[in-house]
Amino acid sequence: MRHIIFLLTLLCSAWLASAKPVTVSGYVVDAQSGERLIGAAVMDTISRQGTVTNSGGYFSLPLTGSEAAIMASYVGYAPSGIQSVRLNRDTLLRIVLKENTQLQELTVVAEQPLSGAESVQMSVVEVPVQQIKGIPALAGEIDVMKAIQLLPGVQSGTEGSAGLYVRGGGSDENLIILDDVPLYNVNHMLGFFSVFNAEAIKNVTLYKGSFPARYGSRLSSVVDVRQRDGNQMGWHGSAMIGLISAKVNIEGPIPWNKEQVDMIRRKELITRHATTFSVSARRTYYDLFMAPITAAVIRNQTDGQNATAGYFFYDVNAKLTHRFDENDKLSASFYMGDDEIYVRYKAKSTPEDPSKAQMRLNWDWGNLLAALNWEHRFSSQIFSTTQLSYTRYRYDLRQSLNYEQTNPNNAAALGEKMDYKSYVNDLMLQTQFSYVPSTQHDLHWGGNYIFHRFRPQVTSFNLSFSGSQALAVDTLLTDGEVAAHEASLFVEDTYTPLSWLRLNLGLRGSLYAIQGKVYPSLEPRIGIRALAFKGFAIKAGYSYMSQYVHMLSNSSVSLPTDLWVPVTRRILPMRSMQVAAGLNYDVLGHVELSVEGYYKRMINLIEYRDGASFIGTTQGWEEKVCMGDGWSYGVEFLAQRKTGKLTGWIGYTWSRSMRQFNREGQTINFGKPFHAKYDREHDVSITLQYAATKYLDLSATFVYGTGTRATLGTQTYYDPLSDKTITYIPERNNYRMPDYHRLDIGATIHYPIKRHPEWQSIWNVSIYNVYNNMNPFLLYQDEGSMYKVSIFPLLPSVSYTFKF
Amino acid sequence: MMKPRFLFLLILLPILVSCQTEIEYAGEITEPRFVVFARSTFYWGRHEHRCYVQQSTFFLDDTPSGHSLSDATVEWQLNDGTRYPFTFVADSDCFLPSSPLPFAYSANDRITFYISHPKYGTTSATQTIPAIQSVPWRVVQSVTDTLNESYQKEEDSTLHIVTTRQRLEINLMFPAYRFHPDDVVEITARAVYHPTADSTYQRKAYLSSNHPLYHSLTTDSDLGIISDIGSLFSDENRRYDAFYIPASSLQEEQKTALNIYTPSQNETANTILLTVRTMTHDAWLYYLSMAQQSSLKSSIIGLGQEEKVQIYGNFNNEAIGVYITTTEQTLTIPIHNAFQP
Repeated sequence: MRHIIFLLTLLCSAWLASAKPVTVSGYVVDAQSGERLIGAAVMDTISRQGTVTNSGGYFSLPLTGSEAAIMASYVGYAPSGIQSVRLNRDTLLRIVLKENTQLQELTVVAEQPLSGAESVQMSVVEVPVQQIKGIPALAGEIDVMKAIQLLPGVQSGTEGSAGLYVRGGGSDENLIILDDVPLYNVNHMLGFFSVFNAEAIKNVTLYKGSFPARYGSRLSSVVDVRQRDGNQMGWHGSAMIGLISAKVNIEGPIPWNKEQVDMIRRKELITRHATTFSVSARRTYYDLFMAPITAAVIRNQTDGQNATAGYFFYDVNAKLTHRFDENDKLSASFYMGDDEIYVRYKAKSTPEDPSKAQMRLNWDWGNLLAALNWEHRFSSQIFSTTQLSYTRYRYDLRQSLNYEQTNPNNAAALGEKMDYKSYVNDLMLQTQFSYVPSTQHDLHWGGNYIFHRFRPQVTSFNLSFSGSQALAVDTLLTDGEVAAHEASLFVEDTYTPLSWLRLNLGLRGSLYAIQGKVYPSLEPRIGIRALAFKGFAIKAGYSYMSQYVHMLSNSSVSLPTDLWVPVTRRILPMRSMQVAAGLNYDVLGHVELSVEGYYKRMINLIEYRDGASFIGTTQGWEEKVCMGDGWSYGVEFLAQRKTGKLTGWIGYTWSRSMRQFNREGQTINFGKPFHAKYDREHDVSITLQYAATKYLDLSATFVYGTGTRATLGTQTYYDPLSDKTITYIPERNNYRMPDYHRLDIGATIHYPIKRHPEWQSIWNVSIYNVYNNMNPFLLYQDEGSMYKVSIFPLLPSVSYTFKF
Repeated sequence: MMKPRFLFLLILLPILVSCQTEIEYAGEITEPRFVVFARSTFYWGRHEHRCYVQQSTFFLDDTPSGHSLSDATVEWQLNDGTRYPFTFVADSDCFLPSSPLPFAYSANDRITFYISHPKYGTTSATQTIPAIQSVPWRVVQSVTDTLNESYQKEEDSTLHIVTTRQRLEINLMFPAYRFHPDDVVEITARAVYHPTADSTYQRKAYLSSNHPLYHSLTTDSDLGIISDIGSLFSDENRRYDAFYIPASSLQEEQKTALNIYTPSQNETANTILLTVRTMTHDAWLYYLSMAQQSSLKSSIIGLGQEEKVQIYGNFNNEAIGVYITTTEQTLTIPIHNAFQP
């Protein structure tokens, strides 16, 4: 009998040991707003199994055993969790995290959740929005893209530009997505500011390499920006006024019935049929007070001529979210932003000069984005996101001129109208699934279809002139609209065969059909992480990317006339292959150190032939460009601290970036290799934020970069065949501009308002370019001398924000 | 009211005074380079050859460029034959043949210039001789084109303005002959005026044609840089300074209609000089790069507007300069004066 009992016990034990895993899933949310947190780390501190929340704030963790202790953490929040979760069935949790308002260091606990070292993903940086808001900013305008430019591996363009040049790639090789919808032009004001209003943003992630298979269509980087859903716990908002712009933000729940109203009053989270909204708007007002000043100065200087000019930009972000229950969420996102330049001129007639002249110019450009997003939880293991979206970038330049010479001896009249437009728009349907079947596999798959429409140029020109030489012109110049179809499918698996070894294996297939030509692409993605010991990982990755659009631009500043054009029968898709390897080390869970080396090879890049210009026209653009190759390599160091009183990062990059165009009929620089324009050998950035007291935060940013490259003639000679003195150009991009460096500092004073302690007053004072270093915006030569033009000297700014 | 004004100026002051500074050149100071230009032009019954030898100057150097190196050695060679020396002629500031050069040559023969200098070593460049052959023409009509314009000045008053141009329509027949397929043929025109018996002057005349041959150069954008003056006009009104035809399009006989417009208002030209010039591919690349560079006015560095142009050159051993060969013939076409009966 004893033997039978013993055998039965053995069999039961064996059966228990081979039991299928139970899935613990759920959401990590902010305690004050109910916002689902993206990229929050979730771990079972008993089995040491962990994961991170996805873009919907959802996690899924298959576990074995009888009990788990689930802990979640997120930057800027105190860790929290559920100490005891019985693993007898699939369980759905909601873990609520409170912002860490304590100034002392967080206690290092043994149960540190997933750190950067443990993630298989390399070449990725998550920049907390709170850190972005603390960085001293140009004219006080907090800017997401400017913060990203401070990361290693990312170069900016010229002084003040918001362009991104990531690991030797061009500024059009970055996939910038807002709630999964691509934006074509993310720049305001010639690139000095980006379109992202930090008040509307919840999360920003930058991928520089080792791209997950769900991303494609661009060679060099992915900037994934997520908007806020809106506060579920009550109406909140802020209003900010600064030196050049004003912003307002309001968000909150929309109750459906009295019960929900009561829950909101009690600050309880509504879990079923919960609707929230978030609206943010920003506008510059520089024109409102400069336009009358300009008009007055011109009237004074020109004896009464009437003229005025102005520039402004605005953004509106909006999002409406409805949570049916824990399984379904529907959201509608909207973004619209425009820049506008206007000029009005009316000449004053005099008895000596009775002519009349009038000129009007309006130039506006901007983005429109709309998306409908559905998140569905099929089960504890399967989660999906489906989206229908529309994005459009366009610019429109309208000018009219009327002139009449009324002198009877010399009568003439001139009328001219011009309208110059360009646009690109996409209609996209995409879906993604995630499935976590076991502790060893985390599967993702999905696909998308995009219908592109490009209209690079439509110019209508009407001219009539009556005088000694009469003339009449009525012309429409247009590139026909070009439609393209893009479709892709991807599958990826994060596979953990051993506790110390994790692999991310992905494959993306894409097709691009245009003008009767189909371009297929198969893009493998591989990531490997080997954990040498806790907190120390060795990582490597490989990714192959394809890109089917180009941005035609001659200038280092972002001009609205920068045109997006698709590949054609002659201009092939760009491709890149990148390998990277590195080390990650988490120091006591507070400081993350990483060193990463990469090599990237790019083919079918386009560059402009000597003398080519795209200011305002794409006619014959294919003949003005050459296709060639590029390669870049470098090493990046990053030390980042996200928690505690002192946060920020120190980054250093050493890199080289080269180009070569030597295909038949498409040579540049006589076919010899030359430096890329943004080949900056050294790049240093230090960004620090210090919570000095309960009411005072200090921040500082220092950047240093080797100068960018420019083409400079070094010899002059006389050409007798043309009777001209010529400047000899030995090589494209042969000259290095002066090095760039500056220091910015800032201080933020925030305190509650006496009668309403939950409201806040926030003063921000910052100084851009503290020691007034005149960084070069451009150089020019004049009569044997060289001059540097700088645009941003020491610039103080102040802003006030009211939060409720 | 002083305070706000003072604050405003205080904020503006750093911006106003710190925009532009002179800087030192931080690159390498490069040594002068060997500069050589040579040209061979073939006409009916005669030919000219000349060679210019100089050195460049560092761009920040005050020394003017264009100083000839008269102590260079220059030789000319037809195919692989005898090398003929050139001599420096101070009046022309260039090297010219020391003795008459052989006249017996044919299209596609090769000419090589060899230049050597004690300081800069030796350099050379070779070009083929483009074909030269008569291009028959026939006047179809010589008319005036009248443009009438009117505009409503006031409610009951209309202003009428009439202008005229002379237009000469000719048929120009390109015979089939074996150009080197990379050669380019250029057509330009000038109008000759004789206002009095003793005086004469010329003006550039403009060309217009719908024949595809004149629009066969693949790089229309390049064409636009150096020939097009009416890019905003519709195709039928578009007028050009010059037409460029790739020789590869002239392998068969081509009959083309060509319109030539005089540019001046109400002045009657007597003659049109139509110049047909054939140039080698190297010459075409050189002229193209020159035209591209001349269209760039700015000396701005670093902003990226329009990449600077490297002027084409074909001398070896890193010498700057180009050797080009062209053949040229001018057709003299009298105009029946449309204003006279």
